[in-house]
Amino acid sequence: MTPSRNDVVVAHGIGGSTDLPVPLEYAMLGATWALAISFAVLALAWRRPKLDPRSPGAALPPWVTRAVDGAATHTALGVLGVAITGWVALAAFGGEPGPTNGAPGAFYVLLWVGLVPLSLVCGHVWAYVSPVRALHHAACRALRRDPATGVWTYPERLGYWPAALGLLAFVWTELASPDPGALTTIRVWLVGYVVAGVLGGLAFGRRWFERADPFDVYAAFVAALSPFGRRDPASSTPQARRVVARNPLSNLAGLPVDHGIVAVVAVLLGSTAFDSATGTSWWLTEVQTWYAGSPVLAVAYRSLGLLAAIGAVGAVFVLAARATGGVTSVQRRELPSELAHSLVPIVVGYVGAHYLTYLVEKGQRTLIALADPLDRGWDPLGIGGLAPSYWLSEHPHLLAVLKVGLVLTGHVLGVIAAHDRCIRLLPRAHHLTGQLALMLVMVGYTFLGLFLLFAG
Amino acid sequence: MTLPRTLPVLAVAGLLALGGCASDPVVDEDTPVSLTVTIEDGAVTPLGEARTATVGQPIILRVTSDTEDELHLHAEPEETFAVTPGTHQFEFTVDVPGSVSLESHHVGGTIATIDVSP
Repeated sequence: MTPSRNDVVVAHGIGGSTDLPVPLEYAMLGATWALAISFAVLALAWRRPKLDPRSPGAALPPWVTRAVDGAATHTALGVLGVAITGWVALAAFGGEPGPTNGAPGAFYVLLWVGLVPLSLVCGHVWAYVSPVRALHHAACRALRRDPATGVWTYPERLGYWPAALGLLAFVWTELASPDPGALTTIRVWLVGYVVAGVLGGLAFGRRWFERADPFDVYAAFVAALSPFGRRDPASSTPQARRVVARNPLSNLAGLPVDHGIVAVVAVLLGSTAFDSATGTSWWLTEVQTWYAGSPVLAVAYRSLGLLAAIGAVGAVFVLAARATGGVTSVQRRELPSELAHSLVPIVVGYVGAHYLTYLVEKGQRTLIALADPLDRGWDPLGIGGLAPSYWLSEHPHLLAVLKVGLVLTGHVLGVIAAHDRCIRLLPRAHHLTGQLALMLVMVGYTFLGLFLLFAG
Repeated sequence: MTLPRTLPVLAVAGLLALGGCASDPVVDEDTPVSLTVTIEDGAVTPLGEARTATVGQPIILRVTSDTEDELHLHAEPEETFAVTPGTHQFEFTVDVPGSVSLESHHVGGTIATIDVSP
């Protein structure tokens, strides 16, 4: 019964227990409401498009804009991001492996899951905290170059595809690779991400971070659902740059559409569903018997499962988004990308439900572990001696209500976003029938998500 | 006019059924949960066994193995049980509610998940 200190292969790379299943009746109740509200939106909601990313909103005091855009703020946030990354690098390269090392938690919990609430509440502040953006900026200053432009123009046809591939690489590392929690894995990612980010930025300028950097793109997608935005996102005059608070769904409607946008949301939603699915008794008693005992087969089956989940989520969405009459074939081809933003709330709700305790409880454990990255007894913030609070886990019914509530909220926002975009894009005669398939697919995603919270 | 009378009866019956489902099954918290694991010819049995327990309830793990292995209990905190050829018995409790899985580290496989309620 001695706690192991080294070479522990753990789920998600950081180990520990997972949530108790959501009680069946909570999941059923959530599913019923999802179905009812969806049809209510279809039948009763507005008939003229309302969600406009350029709607005036409520202007925040001018000092907010000055603070947000101030060079001092950017420098301070950039230094903070680089300092935190450097601190985690100390643990990754110099710390003892095992549960007292905070580097895997910093990567899988604080960065991957923490990005979501940070961006949802504060908007795209990751653009200033991002260590690769800050290092790129510093490199540009040293080389006397403009950070906005690179050596080449970013190829427009790539769109979000590089970011989607980067996100796929990340979720593969976390959910299917042989040893996600090994410090070697964290080191490879840390060095690879920083080198790729700085070189990509130098090569293609700011566009690299907006289209190819997986974490930056994830943060930007979630930030689109935040209540904060610019008065006119498309313009750069001082007046248009004014920070305003507006309906998050109006901000979401301004999420830039580009090639690969469906792939980004499919990776995020499909991978979370796959993560739940591997915890179901079906996976553990059936699928597991095909690969148990063989590390190579385990990686193969998990990789196939992950790709299948992402592929299925994406394919079903594309088919449903295209299932409407009254449009030309060119318009029809554009529909999935034009509607992809409506999956962002569903992603955020489901990811939030799936990783809530993970962030709160394993996040605490990670911060405590990070206090002493090199195992030398450091404790600069005086938190090294604290014990994590498992309050959420100790109240499983409250947790179940929160999780079902998050999934349901995401679903309702997604259906509303899709409805508004459909009535903007589709001819009047197809307003209702044209969005029916998409709405049913969203209901399907939500049913599946709730079922997996119950069964996984 | 039987319908108006039937509906409240159905509703009450449904609520009672829900309440019945929601209340936890009666468990004796002192009776240990026991789990028997066999590791033989490079394969672990069982795989994906589902169990329930409560916080603090003793869980007894009997392992018969023909090889060296390490069993990991993914709980808060993590625990490791070292297995050598022969039969071993380990006893432990889980102190933080959650779904806890037991995995074979070297032979490979998720042996059981134990849903530990408060």
